[in-house]
Amino acid sequence: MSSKKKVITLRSSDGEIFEVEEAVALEWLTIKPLVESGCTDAIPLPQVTGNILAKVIEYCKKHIGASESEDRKILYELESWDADFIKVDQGTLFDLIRAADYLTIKTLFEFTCQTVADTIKHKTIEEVRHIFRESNDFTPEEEKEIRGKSWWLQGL
Amino acid sequence: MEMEAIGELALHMVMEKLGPKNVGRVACVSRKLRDCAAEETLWSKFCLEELGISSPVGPGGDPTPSFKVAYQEWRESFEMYPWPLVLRVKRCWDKLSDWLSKNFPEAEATLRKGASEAELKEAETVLQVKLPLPTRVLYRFHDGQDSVDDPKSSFGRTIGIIGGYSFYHHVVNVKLLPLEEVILKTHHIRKHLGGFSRSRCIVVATSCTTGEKLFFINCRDGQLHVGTINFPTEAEMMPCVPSELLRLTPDSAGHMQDAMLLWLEEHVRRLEMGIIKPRGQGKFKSICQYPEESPLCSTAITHGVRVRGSAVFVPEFSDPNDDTEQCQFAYSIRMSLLPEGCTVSRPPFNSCQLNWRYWTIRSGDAVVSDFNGEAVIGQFPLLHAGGEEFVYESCAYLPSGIGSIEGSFTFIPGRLVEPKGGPFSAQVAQFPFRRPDYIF
Repeated sequence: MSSKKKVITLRSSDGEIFEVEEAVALEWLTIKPLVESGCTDAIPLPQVTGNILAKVIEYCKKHIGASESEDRKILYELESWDADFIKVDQGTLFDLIRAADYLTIKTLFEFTCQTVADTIKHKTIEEVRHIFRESNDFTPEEEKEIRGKSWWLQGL
Repeated sequence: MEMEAIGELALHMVMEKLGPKNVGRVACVSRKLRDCAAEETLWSKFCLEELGISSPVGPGGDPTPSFKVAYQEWRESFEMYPWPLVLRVKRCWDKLSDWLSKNFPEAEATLRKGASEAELKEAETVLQVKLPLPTRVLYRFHDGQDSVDDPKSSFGRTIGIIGGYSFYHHVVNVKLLPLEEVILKTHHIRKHLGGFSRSRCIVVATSCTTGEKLFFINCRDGQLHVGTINFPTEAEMMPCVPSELLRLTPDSAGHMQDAMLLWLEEHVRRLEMGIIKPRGQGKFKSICQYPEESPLCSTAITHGVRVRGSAVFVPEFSDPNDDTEQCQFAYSIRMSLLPEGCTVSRPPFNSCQLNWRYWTIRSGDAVVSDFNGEAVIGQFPLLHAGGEEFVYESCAYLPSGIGSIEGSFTFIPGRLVEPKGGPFSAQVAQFPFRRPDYIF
């Protein structure tokens, strides 16, 4: 086994250099093989900018070990920390999702997707369109037909 | 930023987290989101999570072209009911079918297909009642049971999925009635019993054996009742489920429950936990309501003789009135000689035979009966080491709904006609007589 507290160097798309503990980097399945192979160079991450990578590292450092805890107090504390962490604008949220997807970080990916889902829940169709700047590309006939159906048939 | 910007995988994950209802709404936002919302993997997950189905089948049991269509057909078909109630009823039936298919496939085969909305409406009109919603949904899944015509079976013409008990000549085996029989039986009773015709009760389950036992659902309050010994004269009934649990109007989350659903769920729980089990073989097989697990079933082993005992409350022979309260309990005793034989002395004997019994019956803490006598139900069971269990049933009346029975059997090592040693006593550990919260 590798020695404790081994540090991995990462380079963001905009050239910023970050150092993370090996244990954290091993949770990122995309770079795991590189880390395991004992790579000592800075690992380039051309799809993640420095400010997003900083957030991703912050999240993963906080979560390592804690997510599996069974101590209710720790979990409760983690939950409220998460809630604060994710108070970001929509662009940052989407960037975090893409970073988590790209780096294959399961916990962060699920958490950020859940956040998007929570934003949509209980919103009307118009509100969802507005929030996500989705344009209504249905024809008026399609729109009319959709409106006339029960929700489980609408649009599906 | 448009939502598609997060990528296919993330979009799929968001949909998964949204759940079916919100996915339905998101599908109306744009074409791109509609396509994403229609993905099969998503709907196969929803179908499994909510409905417990792992292949695309509609409510009628027919395959559908996709999971999405299966889900839509289920929703459409049960549109008039709170969805959480539909899922709960489905889970209850699924669990029961699952248990039956593993332990009693002949009984599973008697479950009829669900009643249609039209059939339910018709039954309601004819009976002049409005069925509580949970009962209605239960019938949508299975319209009771088919009768099995087997004149040779002493258990009558039915395999009851509720089952029953027997003692002396009284045999009970309860089955759920199809709507057709609900109408016939309810009309029949209404015609002959004045007191009954004014109630909003309809017959939903009966024992079709020698002993008449009738279960009714009261359409006014959703309680399930069973006829007492005074039913034939006064239409007297007693509740079968704790009344405080009934909730006939759905709460904000759509949760509601009537006694029929609670009763069936409790029955399934007992089957799954092994508290009650099937007994007998072939056409004599039935679900036996005598409990098999402690604390309701007691076990004592004395010198290799194992005696298990448990009791059931017999509502159809009980009188629940305050001043004349009489509760009947039937009890089942199962005795066997363990494989190591009768160890009252060394070397062990490989058989022993019952000679005498001794019982103490209590109502509350007071002894109401204390008796000694030869044999059990006129028999002197001979037990062989590792041999079959000898089972017999008897009954007792108590002036209250709570009590107990305990005692001992005197055995002779070897056989009565050829004793191998002096008599010894085998304990029958105390087991309770209790009018239960749930009556079956």
